[in-house]
Amino acid sequence: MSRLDIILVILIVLSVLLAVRQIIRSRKNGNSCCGDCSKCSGCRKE
Amino acid sequence: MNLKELEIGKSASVLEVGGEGALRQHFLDMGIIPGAEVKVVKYAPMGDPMELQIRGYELTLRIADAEKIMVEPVETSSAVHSDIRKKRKTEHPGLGEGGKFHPKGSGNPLPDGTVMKFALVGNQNCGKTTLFNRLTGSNQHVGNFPGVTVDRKDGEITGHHDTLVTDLPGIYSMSPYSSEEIVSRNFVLDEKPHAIINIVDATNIERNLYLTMQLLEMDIPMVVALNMMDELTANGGSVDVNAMEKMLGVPVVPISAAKNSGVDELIDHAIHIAHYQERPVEQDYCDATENGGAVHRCLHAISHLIDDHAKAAGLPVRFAASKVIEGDPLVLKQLSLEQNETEMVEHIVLQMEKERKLDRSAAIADMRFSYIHRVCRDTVIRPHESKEHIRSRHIDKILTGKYTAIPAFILIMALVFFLTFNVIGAWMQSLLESGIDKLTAAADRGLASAGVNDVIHGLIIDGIFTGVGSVLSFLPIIVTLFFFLSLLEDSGYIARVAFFMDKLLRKIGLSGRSIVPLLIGFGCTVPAVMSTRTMPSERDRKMTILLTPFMSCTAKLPIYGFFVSVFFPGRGAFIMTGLYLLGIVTGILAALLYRNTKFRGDAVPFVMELPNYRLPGFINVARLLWDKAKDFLQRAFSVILIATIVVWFLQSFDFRLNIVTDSKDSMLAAFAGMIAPLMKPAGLADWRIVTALISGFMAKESVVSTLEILFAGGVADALTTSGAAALLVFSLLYTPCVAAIAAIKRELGKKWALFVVVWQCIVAWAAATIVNLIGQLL
Repeated sequence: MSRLDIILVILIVLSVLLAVRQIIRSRKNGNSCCGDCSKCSGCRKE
Repeated sequence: MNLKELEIGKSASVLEVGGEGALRQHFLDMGIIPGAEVKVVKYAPMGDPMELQIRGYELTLRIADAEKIMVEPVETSSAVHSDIRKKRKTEHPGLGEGGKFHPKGSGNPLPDGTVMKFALVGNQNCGKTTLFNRLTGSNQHVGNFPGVTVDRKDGEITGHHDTLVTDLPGIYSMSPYSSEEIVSRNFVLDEKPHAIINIVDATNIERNLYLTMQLLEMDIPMVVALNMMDELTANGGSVDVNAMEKMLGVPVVPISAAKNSGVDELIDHAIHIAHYQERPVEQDYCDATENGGAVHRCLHAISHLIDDHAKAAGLPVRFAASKVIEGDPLVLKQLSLEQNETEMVEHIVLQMEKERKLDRSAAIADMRFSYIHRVCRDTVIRPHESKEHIRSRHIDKILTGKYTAIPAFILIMALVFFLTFNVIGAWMQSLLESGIDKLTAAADRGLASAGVNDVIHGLIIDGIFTGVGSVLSFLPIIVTLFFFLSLLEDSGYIARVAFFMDKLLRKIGLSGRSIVPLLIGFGCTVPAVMSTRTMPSERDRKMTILLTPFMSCTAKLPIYGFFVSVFFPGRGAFIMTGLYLLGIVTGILAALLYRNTKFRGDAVPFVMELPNYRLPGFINVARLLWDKAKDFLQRAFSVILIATIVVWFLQSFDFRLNIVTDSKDSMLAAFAGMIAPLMKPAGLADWRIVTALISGFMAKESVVSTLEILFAGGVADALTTSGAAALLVFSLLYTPCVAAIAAIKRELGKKWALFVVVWQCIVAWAAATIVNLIGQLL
């Protein structure tokens, strides 16, 4: 594998880690659709 | 005669309100009391329910319930407040003003540093949420009341870190008719806020003041925010605020939450009365001279009798007394009266009923409305019919007309779908698709020229770009459909749909209210499930939640779009419409099954206010669309990205982590192959399709991204037309995504959530099998 290949693999792994972190954080903060509209203002209109 | 016999356009005075229990109390609380004047506006297109005008607002009522209300026709509608007292300059009573109501330096102030808790209480549609947003800005936290599925929002007043405002659900009274009312009442009694901010719709003041009267009985510092004053004054109305303050015994602040005027003054008053604990000036609302003083004597007698019990239970005495007379079971239980006391209460109330010639609940409601009438007579100049109301009447002639309501509804929904799928959404989608294709091609060329490893090249282009890109292109369609659904709901039209769909929905065991969550379900199942919280009947609520998965949500659009473009080019609109209708028809069949099995019985009575039509605020709609788009993009770059990479990995490697040349030998093929035989009757026994459908449990959009990766553009060869149709039907009906299941679990519990997953899969399998068989026969 060339240096570019390694960099790309690292970037992909980082993206996956960031995505997982985003999912976990947004579930806790209520910033994604977690099935609980009382935790977020996004999917439910008042 | 009864109310059902009253002709359209005629007015009558209510003589007697029949019925019993919580529903009858609800009628009384909404103002249908003996002596009240009602006017029949229209009947729904199918003859039921009817629309009434009472106390300046519109109310819906089923014919069966109208039969229980006895009325006497009146020749002409009496001009309300025609005997308005000659206006005199009224001095400000000094409520909520520093040093006027209590000498400076005295009073009973809260200790410094106390976080002042406020309860924001008001009717539905009075602008409460707008005011809450003005007060708190972005300093909000959304949560839930424990033990009940009712939303709770808390926030700090901007610039005042020592405050906490709790937005309570919109309610019409403190009677236990719905969970919202119970929650609001319990919040005020148990959490003991330092003050109440009661928001009153000035354009609908009589009905709104009914709740105010009950809040005053709770003896908690309170300020009345008279909202929509701009609308009132624009239509020639006015309020003598000083006089109203004197009569109610609490500060009254005219505001317009929408225009952000008067809010600062409201905050100042609220903080003052909370800090100094200025309770309502004691007012004897029951007139000692009216109708022989029967209600007055009854209330005071019972107040004395239950005084010790009320104090022991921590209930305000006046509030407890009026609830005891109304027969409120929750209060009676809390008071734990002895046998003697219970009998004495009953005798006192019976005597009051005899003297007053009204039953107890009607007598109390009448007492309150009498006082409200005096307040309005002395302080309010009613506006002429507002422009908004005139406009609503004209629009309703078409949108709820006998012969035009249902065709208008079909036309509007058809227009919404046409504009979404064929015009606006489709145009923006093609632009986005073209951009994504160019980007993918550029990345492909770049990676090839850089000599990147083939496996990594494949992951990036065939996995990530293809998978995520295929989903991203549907963003415009999803946002467009959400926009139109929000427009319909916020404008007030969907309330009308509930009105004229009530009779039809009753045939399948639901009420008109159920149409709201079902229509929202076309956008997303999660808010649809949440919106059932306002339904007073638990049975109706459960049934509606179980039916929302049959309404095809926007997340499934990428699946439809994908297969339509490959198998049914040029017939997209026809296929999409057919799928939506199939979902609705299957939902109706499911409802009939539920009605005859687990959910026997009729839907609850249908009593609903019809607000004026209004143009939704641009900022609110824009904010909602942005939130929706942001949520979609976040999901695309998180859940779908991960799903894409995982699927790519599992289908590129075998169990020994060697790269496979044929994906049939991969790990994914092995897993999915175990379930694939079950799907054979539906023509979907391909492991790649099964994998894609399983990935749809996480997020429906990932079905398409998974198919793109696994078929690498060859899906047209892998499926027949009937197989494609079966797959569309299966996708339409099978289990909703994990977020929707989580919402259902929150509302109904684990058992029902699991039932939905299994039941939807069974229904989907059966329907897909039928479609496949029909397709093969044709």
